Amino acid sequence: MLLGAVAFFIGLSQLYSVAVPPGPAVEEIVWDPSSAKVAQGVATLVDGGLEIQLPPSGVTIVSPSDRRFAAQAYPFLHIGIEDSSQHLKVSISWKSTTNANKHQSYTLESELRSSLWLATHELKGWEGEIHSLSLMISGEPGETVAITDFSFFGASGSRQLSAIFSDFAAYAPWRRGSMNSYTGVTSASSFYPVPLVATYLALCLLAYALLLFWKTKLQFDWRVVAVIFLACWIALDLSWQNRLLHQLADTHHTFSGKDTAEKLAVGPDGKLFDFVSEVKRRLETEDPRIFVASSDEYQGLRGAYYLYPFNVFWALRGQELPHREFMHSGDYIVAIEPTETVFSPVVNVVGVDGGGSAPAEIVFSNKSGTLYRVK
Amino acid sequence: MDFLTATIALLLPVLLGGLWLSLFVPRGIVARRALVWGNGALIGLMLIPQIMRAQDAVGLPLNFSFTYSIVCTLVVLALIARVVITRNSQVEYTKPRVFAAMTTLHRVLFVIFLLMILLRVATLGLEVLWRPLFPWDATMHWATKARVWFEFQEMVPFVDNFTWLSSPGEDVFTDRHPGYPAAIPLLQVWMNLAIGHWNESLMNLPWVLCLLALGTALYGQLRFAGVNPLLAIVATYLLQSMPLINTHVALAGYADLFLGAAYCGALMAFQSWVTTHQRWQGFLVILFAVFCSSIKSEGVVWALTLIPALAVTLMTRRQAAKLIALVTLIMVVLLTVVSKDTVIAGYTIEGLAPSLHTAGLVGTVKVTWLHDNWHLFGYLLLAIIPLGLLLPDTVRKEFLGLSLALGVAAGSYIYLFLFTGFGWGASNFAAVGRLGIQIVPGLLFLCILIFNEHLYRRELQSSAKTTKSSV
Repeated sequence: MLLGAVAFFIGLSQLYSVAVPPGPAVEEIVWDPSSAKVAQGVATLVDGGLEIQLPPSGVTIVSPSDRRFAAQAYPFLHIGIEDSSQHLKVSISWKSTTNANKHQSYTLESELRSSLWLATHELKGWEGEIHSLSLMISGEPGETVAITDFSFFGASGSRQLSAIFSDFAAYAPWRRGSMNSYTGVTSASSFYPVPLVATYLALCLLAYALLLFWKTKLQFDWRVVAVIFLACWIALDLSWQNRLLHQLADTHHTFSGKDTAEKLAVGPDGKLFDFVSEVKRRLETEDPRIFVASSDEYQGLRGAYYLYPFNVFWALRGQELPHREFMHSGDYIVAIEPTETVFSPVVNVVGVDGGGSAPAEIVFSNKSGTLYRVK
Repeated sequence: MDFLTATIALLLPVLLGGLWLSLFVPRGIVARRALVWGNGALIGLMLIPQIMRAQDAVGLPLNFSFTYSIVCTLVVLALIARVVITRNSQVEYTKPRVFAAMTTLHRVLFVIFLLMILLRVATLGLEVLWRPLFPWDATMHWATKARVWFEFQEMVPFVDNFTWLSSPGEDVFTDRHPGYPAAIPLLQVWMNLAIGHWNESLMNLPWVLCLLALGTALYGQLRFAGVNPLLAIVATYLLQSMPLINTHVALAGYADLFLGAAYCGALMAFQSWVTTHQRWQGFLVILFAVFCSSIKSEGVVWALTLIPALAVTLMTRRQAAKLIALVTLIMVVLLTVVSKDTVIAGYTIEGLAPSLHTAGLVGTVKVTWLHDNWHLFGYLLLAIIPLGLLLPDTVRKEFLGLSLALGVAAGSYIYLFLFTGFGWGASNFAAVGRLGIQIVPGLLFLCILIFNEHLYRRELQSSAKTTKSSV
C-alpha cells in the first residue's frame, strides 16, 4: 500500500499539478487584520484575527486589502472563521478584468470553516486580474464572528493535498437532492473522492502485482487484495461518517427535545408551517376542500402536505388553480408566496391570469400567503 | 412514553416474523439466529401493513389495539407451537462453535467491524429520532396517505387529480401518486397508532430497523452459504456503510430501502434454496417476492426476475433457453398488441418504448462510478464480472440462477435509464440512484459469494500443496 501511495502522489503531482505562470515565485498574500476594511458591524483586533460583531442587518463585508493580483498566480486560499452559528453564510466576492469587472462570488459550501483550504482555480470566474476582493458574512444580528485567516497562496503539492483533505473533511447539511445522489464534493473540489481512491486502489494492486513478479517466493493471496480494497473503502467511509456525525450534531441542536409541531416550527419550513397552522385555525367548516396555489413547487408541495389530513388539492405542474367549474362555494384557496394567484377587490374574484378563477373573500393574509373562501 | 410505545411497535413485527420463521428453520444450522431474526424482522415489517389492509378490507377501523391484538395472538400461537415442537423433537443438535474456531486476530477484526456497524446504525437512528419528515417524495405521495389514514382510522381512497376535482363531497383524497402501494404509509400509520398521535420522527423508526434486519439477514445467508464470519461481517459493513442507503435511512420516508431489502431477501433465499433445497428457504423466496410487489410498483419487475432464475435452475440449459425465448416472444407480441396506455409496474408501455437517451448514460455512469453513493461498490462490480467468469463451470452453474436474476434486473435498470423516456431520471440523478438501492444489496451478495469462492479455492490449493510437501 505504501508503494501504491508513492505512485499515487507522483502521479498526482505530475498529471494534475496546477499550472504556474512563468516568472519568479509569487509572494503569498497573507491575512493582515489591521489593514482590513469592515463595511458594517463592530470590528475589534484580537490575537491573530479580527473579531466582528454583526450589525442589526446581520451582514458584514470585509475587504482584506486593495491589492490587485493575477488569479492564476494564486490557485489556493486558506480561510479561517470561528463562529458558533449554524446559519452563518460566508461568501467570497471579487471582480475580474476578464469578466468585464463584474462581481463574481462563491458561497462556502462546507460549514467547517475554522481551517479550510480552497482550490480557487476551480472557482467559476477566478481568472484574469483580481481586484475588489471581499468576504461577505451573514448571520444573526449581534453574533460575533472571528476571522483568523484569509490568505492566498501560489501552487504547491502540499497545498493541493491540503485542499483535497479539506474536501474530504467538508460538511454540508442535507439538501433536497440528498435523496438522489451523494456526490461527495463541493463545486470548488478538484477531484471526486471515489475515482481518486479507486486510482489509489488500482496503483496498490499494481504494486502488489510487481512485488509478486519480483519476489517469486511470494504467493498471490486474495486476502491481500481484500485488505487493500477494504482499507480504501474505509478511507472513504471515514469521511462519510465524519459528515454524518456533524449532521447529527446539527440535527440535535435544532430538533432535540421538541414535539412534532415545535420541530416543524424551527425547521427549514418554519415560516410556512406557522402560516399553514394559522390557516388551519381559520377554517370554519369541518371537512372543507382546500386548493393550494403557489408558483414555487417546493412551497406548494410542503404547504399542501402540512394541510393534510384536510382534503387538499395541489397539482405539481400546470395552472395554480383548476377551472372555475371545479371550485364550489365553501371551498378554500390557500395561495402561498410566491404565487400568481391574485385577488381583485373590485369584483371580489380570486384567480390566475389565463387560468381558474372564482368569486371569493379574503379570510386571512400575511407575508407567507393568503387564505380565501370561495363564495 | 412515546418512545416506549414506539419501541413496542417496532418489537412486535420482529417477534411476529422471527418466532414464526423459527418454527421452520432447522435447529443447529450455521448462523441460525441471524437467519431467523434478520429475515424474521423483514417479514414482520412487511406483514404488519398486510394485516392492516385485511383489517380495513373487512371494514374494521385501523386502531392500534385491534392490530396489536392480532399480532400478539399470532406471536403467542408461534410461541405455543415452538414449545410443542421443542417438546416433541427427539433430534439432538450441537451449536456450531463459530468464535472458538476463529483466530484472535479474526475475532478482534470481527468485533471492530461489528462496532463500526453499530456506530453507523446508532448515528442514523438518532438522526431519525430527532428529525421530522424531510424528503420531497415522502411529503408528496407517501406520508400524505399515512396522515389521512391515521386521522380517519381507515384507508380512505386516494384518486388522481381529475377524479378528485370531479367528485365533490365524495370523501376521496388526492395526491401526486394516488395509486402507489399502501405498505409504506401503513407502516407509518402503525407507528403513529402505537404512539397515539402524529409523530413525524418516531414513525420513521422502521427504516432503521429495516437496515438492521437487512444487514443481519445478509450476514446469516452468507454464513449459511459457507462464508467465514469475518468476511460475512465485512460484507455487512460494506452494505451498511453505503452513503445513499444511509441517506435513505437518515432521511426516512421513501420505499426504496424496503424494496431493496425484500428483493435482496428473495435473492439470498433463492441462492440458499438452490444449493440446499431446504423448504423454508423456498418459502422465503415466495414471501419476499410477494412483498416486492406490495412495496413499490417496480417491485413486480424485480419479483419477475426470479422466474428465469428458477427456469435455469430446474431445467436443462436448452429447455430453459427455449422457455425464456418463448416468454420473451410472448411479451414482445403482447407489448405490440395492447394499448400504449397500459400500465406495467407503474410505467405506461408508451413510456417504456425504446429510444436512446445518451444523457441517461452519462447520469448512470456518474451515479455509479463518480459520485460517492456506493463508495467503491461500482468498481467492485467491474472486477467481479471477470472473476465470476474465471470460476470453474461446476461452480458457475451454482450461481447461474442468481446471476441471471440480477443480470435481468440490471438489464432492466439500464434499459429504463438509457433507452426510455425515463432517461431524465438519470441525467438529473433524480431516480437512477434511488432505483439502485433496490438492486445493490442483491448485487453485493453475489459479489461476496464469488469472492469467497476464489478465497476458498485458494485455501484448498494451499492446503493441498502443504499436504503434498509433508507426504
